[in-house]
Amino acid sequence: MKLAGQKVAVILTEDGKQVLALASIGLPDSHSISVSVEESEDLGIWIRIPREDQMHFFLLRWEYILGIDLPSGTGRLIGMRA
Amino acid sequence: MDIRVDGYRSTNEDWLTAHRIPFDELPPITDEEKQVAKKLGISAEEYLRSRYAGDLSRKELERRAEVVGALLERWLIQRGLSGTVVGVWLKTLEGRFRVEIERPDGIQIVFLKEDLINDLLDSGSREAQEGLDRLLAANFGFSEAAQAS
Repeated sequence: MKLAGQKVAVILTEDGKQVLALASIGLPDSHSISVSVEESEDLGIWIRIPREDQMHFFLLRWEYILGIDLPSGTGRLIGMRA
Repeated sequence: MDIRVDGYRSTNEDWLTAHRIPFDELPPITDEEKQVAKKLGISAEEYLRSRYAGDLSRKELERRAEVVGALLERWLIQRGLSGTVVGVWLKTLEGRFRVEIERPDGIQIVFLKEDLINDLLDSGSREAQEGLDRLLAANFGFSEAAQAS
């Protein structure tokens, strides 16, 4: 599964929630957090964080992730050409 | 040729652009989208910024899908094969293009890895060009190509 560039909902462990709080990343009240993935790798997923006028990348390690939910997308048909 | 791109993948440049644009300049959210945002557990603003980023990146992905279709049509002509590309579908989560070719004996489906196409288009890689040629040759029944791979 190619997660790079996708918006996904991540279900975190309690430790994972603490890690994000330490990194000053706001957590919603729901059980999952929605993040944009820059890249996934053996260590975890690099997520995009907006900070002031910059984008930061934050490594969310796999051990803090219980599950990932993402829509498969139905796509959109464009450009019918003869 | 039908072009279809699944998903809302965005580049980090487009994502940043979408996070810099003033909220009131974003396209308005529909009631249906509000429901989707609620289900995803994100705010309307976050949903709109994600959608905007995805829309910006989608144009480039659709362009690439069109290029893939043109590449295949050219390859068919060069090989003296009859066939028309009728659809290119980029499945972003799978990282591959699904190409439908209408041939005299029916529709033929060919899958191409997105990485292969990116290597070809972004770096002009000779290896990618040869890989694409081998892959297509094998799919269209050129036995020497199948043996080479």
